[in-house]
Amino acid sequence: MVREGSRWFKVRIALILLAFSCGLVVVLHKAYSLQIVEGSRYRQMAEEQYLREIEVPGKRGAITDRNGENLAVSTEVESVFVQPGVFLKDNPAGNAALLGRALRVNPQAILSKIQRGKHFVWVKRRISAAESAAIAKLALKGVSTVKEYRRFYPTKSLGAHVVGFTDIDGEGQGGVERFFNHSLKGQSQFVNGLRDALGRDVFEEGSISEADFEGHRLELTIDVNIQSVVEAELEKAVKERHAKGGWAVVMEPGTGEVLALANHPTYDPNEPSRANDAARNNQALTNPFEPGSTMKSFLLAAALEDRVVKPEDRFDCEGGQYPIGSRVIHDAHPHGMLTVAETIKVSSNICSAKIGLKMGRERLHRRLRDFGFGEPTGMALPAESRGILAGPERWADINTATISFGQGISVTAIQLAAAFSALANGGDLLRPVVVRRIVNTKGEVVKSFAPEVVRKVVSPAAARAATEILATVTEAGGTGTQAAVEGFRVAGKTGTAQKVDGMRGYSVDKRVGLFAGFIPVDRPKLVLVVAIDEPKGVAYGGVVAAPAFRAIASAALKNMGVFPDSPTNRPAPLEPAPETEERDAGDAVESAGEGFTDLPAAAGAAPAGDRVPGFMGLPLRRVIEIGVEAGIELDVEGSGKALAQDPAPGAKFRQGRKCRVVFGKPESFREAL
Amino acid sequence: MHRPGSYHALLTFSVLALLCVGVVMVYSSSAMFAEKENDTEFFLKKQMFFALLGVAAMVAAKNVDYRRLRVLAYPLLALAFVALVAVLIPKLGAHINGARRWIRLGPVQFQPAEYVKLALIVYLAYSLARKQEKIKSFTVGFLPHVMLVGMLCLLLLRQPDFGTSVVLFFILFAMLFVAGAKISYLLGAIMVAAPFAYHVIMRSEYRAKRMLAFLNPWEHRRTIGYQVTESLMTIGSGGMWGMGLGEGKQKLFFLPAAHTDFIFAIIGEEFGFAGIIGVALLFVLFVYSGIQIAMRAGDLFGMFLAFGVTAAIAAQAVVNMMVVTGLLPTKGFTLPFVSYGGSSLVITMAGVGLLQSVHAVRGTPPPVAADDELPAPVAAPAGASARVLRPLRRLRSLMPRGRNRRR
Repeated sequence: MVREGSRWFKVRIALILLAFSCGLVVVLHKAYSLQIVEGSRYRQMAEEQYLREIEVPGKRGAITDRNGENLAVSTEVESVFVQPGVFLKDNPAGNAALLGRALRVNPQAILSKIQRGKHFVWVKRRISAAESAAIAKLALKGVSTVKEYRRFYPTKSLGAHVVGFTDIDGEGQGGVERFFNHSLKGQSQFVNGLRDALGRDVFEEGSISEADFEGHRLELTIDVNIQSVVEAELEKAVKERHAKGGWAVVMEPGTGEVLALANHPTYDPNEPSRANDAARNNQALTNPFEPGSTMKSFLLAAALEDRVVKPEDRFDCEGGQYPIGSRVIHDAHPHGMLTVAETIKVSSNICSAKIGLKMGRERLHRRLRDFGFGEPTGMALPAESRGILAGPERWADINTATISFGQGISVTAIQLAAAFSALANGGDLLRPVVVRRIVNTKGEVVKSFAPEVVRKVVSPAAARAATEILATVTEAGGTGTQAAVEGFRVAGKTGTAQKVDGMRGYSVDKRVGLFAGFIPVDRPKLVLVVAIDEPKGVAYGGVVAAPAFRAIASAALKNMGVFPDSPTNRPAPLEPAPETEERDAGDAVESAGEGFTDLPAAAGAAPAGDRVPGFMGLPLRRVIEIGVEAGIELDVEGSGKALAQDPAPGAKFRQGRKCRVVFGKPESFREAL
Repeated sequence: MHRPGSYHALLTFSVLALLCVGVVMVYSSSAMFAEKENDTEFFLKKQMFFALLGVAAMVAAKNVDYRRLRVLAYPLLALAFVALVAVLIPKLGAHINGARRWIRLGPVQFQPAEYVKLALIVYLAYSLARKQEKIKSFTVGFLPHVMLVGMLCLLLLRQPDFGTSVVLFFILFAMLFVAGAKISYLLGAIMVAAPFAYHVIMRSEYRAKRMLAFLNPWEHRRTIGYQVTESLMTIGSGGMWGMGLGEGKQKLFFLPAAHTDFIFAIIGEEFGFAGIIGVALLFVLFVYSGIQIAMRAGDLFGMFLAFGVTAAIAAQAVVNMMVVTGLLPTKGFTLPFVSYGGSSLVITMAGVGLLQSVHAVRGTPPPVAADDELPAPVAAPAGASARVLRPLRRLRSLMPRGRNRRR
């Protein structure tokens, strides 16, 4: 009995100990499986709930011009935020007042924002160094700062429409900032922001590392030297003509690289909100307009390519009026028979319409399409317009006729530049390029943009032939003499187009005057499009845009190191006035063999020698043309027909003096005088 | 090696080590939570205070000769009943989280359940030692004790406090088992109690939910299984070596009761599997010391007392660890010595003081004569006492330090 009892006693204590040991072993086994076997899985699950990935964008890459000049850089600044849960616990009103004073923000506004917020409220972003010092000194509970980057545009509005701007979160909002936002932004850092179960952010101090995540650098094709000339000349032209605005594009015809692109009005990307939408809008890409006579350049090339006409073919200009169906096409000034070449030089609408009709709507449409009209160029800038080019099945004869001289088609300045580049480079339509290279922080080229041929538009021979004819436009007797650059031949075309006014047809007085072309003719280095939007008074491209073309082209060529080949290069007149007679004579001689009808004579009101021509009764357009040809500076007033002029017709013209011409409706004749 | 009046070194070491782990971990796990009180050290300060109070309680209990408690067994038990009734009185008992478990006396809050455990151990040790000869009888050795615990449990369930009821039954069964009660009675009682316990669990919605959450926690991850799954993720995050002290993230309000019932999970997160083994090892040392003291006790009362205290603490520790690791349904058990909590810490330390006392007074003349006193070495063991004594001595020889140094 004793033995049995004692054995049981021992066994019983041992059993209890065994139970305890078993319990512990089971616990340890479970812990082993939780921590060692499946530890990473559980850890990941836990991290998912407490790690809030607080995205801190890496430093945004810089944007430079083709020479490495900085156009956009990012600098480090601090931003202040509040964790409302912590902040509101301790004297929120008093602390908000302190905060408000330090940041120069209304304390009431801060407080109400914090009260509405949940876990995280920005109080003020991108604060100054003095402000961050003040915040650090206050050391308020629940108030913290985080490093951010501020975008800075050292050259201000220079190239603003190509560069674009960023919003407060550093997202690109226009230009290449937007188009290449992803490359510029690079990777975001995910700061080890913790989150507790109540959803509050708990920041670990010093967890934001230095910017290893910097975005790529963009190297633009823009040349700041050319860009600044373009902007200055564009602004000058716009202001001189009291115009609404203007667009200019400079392109390298061989590569499609855009050397300058400007819009007026413009804006300062450092403060984009100060400008209106129109100023921020890159209208050279987004705002299609009717190209007017510049379109004749492509009609010409297409007709030559398709052998519809030869340069010396003659067309009857019908004396300035040519009915098609129920409509009548007018020429600015009446002509008789003109060769194809002369048609372009004097910019006859009627003969252009005849060439277009001879081509046929299908062929004309296909050629214009090939030149890139009616489709976006596909360049690397946002919000590009395709322009308007209706399908040929919707063209009546009148449409074919008007589209031949640039009415009933809308294009953008960049489309025009690309199309002129095709004429300049022997027929290849290139995709315009604004970014040459994307370079990472190590200096390695991530991506470079080689010239891209969209398609072959016309043969080199046709392009060459068209170019030779376009070169006469800036020569004496042409409409674009003011675009001529001393020492170079310029191929180009003037254009003056009525603006489409809403749904109701063409506006009476809103026009776009433009000049587009390339230089030098023999080995084109630059394509340049200048368009002046809604100039007051005179709107002729040859008057409002051509001078800017000349100024930009000569500065840009100098900048690029392109100089006149030799003195034998046929000099284009810089100041047309004193050379009028010579030029006219030269032209007459040159054109004689081709049966050239003397243009000024045909106009019927040409200046005789150094006498002031008579303008009375002539429309504005004609007056301007005569004035330009005679080298007389005009001071025009009103609209309608010329009612009065000073000095009077036939008076001896003194150089440097302006001729004032007053326009109006005939019945207002008396009042005008 | 034994000098009368001294502390048991290993026991003291293990308990103080666990206390220190507790203070550190309470601070680590409660600092974020305590920010609500605008004092991240709020729980740290309180836990340090209670730890010191606990050490004082241990020293006091150690210096009281446990043999005097024989006289106090009934009064202590009576006080337990009084406390359990008092907690149910609306003005006295504080209503927290749908249960009345606290007595509020002025600024002091007190959880009677903790005290009841100790009072029951003292009473059972006394009673089982006294009734040793009739321990195998149903009416004397078994039924009265079961009925007594049954009555305590009825009162506890009024709070309601199912957890402590289970603990009381565990203490009862463990002590009856060791004292030599018939296994058949114990098994029979479990068979009878099981349906009753099942009924209690299923009748209460929250207990039923805890059961469901236990059986399939991941299906109820967002609702009733939240605490368990968070606990599993917390421990799992620790890996082998843990995230480092204070680096744990789950205490950011994800893991409810991180500084009380689930502090073991935070230990697992911040110190990894190594930390869990470390804490488990400290408890092994504690249990080893407790059993050693029980084996060497000078009388049966001392032996049962030491065993009861050790078993109660060990069981609570193991159950807490099992709950935290998802091996048992969620139960309001703290991890002894480590979890944040005033009453439980002080009472537990008082229990350790009794262990120390049993160790300390060994070999000193008893202050009061008792019927179960171990006989003097010269006297031949006889009767019921002898039945216990011999195996005790044999067991002692199994323990490394258990050489029979007694004359």
